Amino acid sequence: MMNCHLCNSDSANIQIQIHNHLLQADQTIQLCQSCADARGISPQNMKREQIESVIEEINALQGQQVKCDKCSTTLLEIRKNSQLGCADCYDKMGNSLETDLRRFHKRSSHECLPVIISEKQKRQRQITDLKKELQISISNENYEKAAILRDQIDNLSLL
Amino acid sequence: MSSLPDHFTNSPLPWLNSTSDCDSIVLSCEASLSRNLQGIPFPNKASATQLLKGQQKVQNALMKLEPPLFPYSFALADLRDLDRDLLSERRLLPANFESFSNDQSYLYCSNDESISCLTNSEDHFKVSISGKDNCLNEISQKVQQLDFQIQQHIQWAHSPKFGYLTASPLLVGSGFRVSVLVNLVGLELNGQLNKTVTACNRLGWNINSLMNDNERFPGNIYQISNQRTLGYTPEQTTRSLQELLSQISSQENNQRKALAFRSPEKILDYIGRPYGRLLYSHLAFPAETLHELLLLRTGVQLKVLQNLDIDDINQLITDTMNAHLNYHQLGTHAELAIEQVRSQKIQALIAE
Ligand SMILES: [Zn+2]
Repeated sequence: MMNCHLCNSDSANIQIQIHNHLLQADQTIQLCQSCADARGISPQNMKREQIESVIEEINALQGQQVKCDKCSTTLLEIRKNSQLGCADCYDKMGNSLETDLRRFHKRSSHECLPVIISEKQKRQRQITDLKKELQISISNENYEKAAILRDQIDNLSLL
Repeated sequence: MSSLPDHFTNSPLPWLNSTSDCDSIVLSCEASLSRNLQGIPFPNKASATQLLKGQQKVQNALMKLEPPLFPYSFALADLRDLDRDLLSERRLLPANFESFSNDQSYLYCSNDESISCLTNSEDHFKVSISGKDNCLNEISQKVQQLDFQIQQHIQWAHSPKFGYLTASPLLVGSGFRVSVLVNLVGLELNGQLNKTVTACNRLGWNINSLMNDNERFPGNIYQISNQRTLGYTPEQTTRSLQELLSQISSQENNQRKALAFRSPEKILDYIGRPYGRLLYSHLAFPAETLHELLLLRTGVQLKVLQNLDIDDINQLITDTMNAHLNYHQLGTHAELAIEQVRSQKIQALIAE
């Protein structure tokens, strides 16, 4: 038998494979029937948002045991008192704290330089334009040009 | 016996402006920056020695400011409860100071009370600047300049990713909190206030009644302040508050004009009732009295009460605030209940 990642009972019978973009890796989630039912998830019917919120829940559960080695504040305490213990807590609490911060501020980092945002937007726009051009090249059967465009898109997407 | 300078106990509350102008919607505004020292845990986790060390560092930095800004400094632990309550009524101490203060909490204050610093409270350091009417841009720039000056002598906890690190996750990033006190009597009376509150919240602004007991005495003075600090510069936050404020002001002005045109009796009744209650009461209780006096003040601004002067009302509101009144009545009028003294003070002004 497998342990349920949410309630830790040993009756998990649902396994979900998902690609975690943050960790850049595939992740397996195990749920028992009642935890899955409570969240409206069934193997036949599951939406990406549902799975993502389960991942957040699991991260939160794991995170609550995370302790700052400098001041020994735990994530659970931070959530309870709305107070961090020291500057190091910020780096220690990782993704779970960032989820909270995004909920409070709609942003999860102070690297808010408009230049960075617009660079990214500029790249996105370039990619969209190139994709259109790629479609045209393909429909014109100009595969040499299409290959170059495809490489350009790949390069931009990697940035 | 008194431990606070006279100015703090006698002059009108600094957050009440004295414009008797029917367009006067903004009473006052305040901008603050919260900061922590590098290498010392935040006050809630710091040891007594660490708090003392932090306090000395901040004190040294403040003393190096040219020209000197803070002629007054108070160790909160040395003040009486009454003194601290009085400072809190003047908004020089935050309402929640009790849950955060410790032996090393100090308040520094400029001559006119407009610039103040609080050390070892929720964070190691918080500097605030306030001003009457709408002076958002001015105080927001001033508080940043002051922090910049202080940073010449001190290193704040800062990370490239999260900006300035604060004890509360709700303040991290800029550490910047900016607020305005606004009189929204028109929106309130026309039943439009809930819409405004919802819109503000959705846009990332808190809007709360000034009154502590806002269930029983909602009042018509509200404080608007920013919820979001992470990923926003003080300039961005100030600019969006200015924009929000100009929208709210134009809505409020429209509602006031509509009221005056369609149903002036609504305003007369709204102001007349508290006037009558204050005139005929014998025991005036603090929360209720503040609520009613603020309505009278609105009446003066809307030119409904022509015989009263805004400065007199401001002084009366100040003198009848709980801590202010107790401060001056301590030991005198022993035979009278404080509620009776308050009531008599009010009638002495409004029954003329
Ligand atoms: Zn810590």
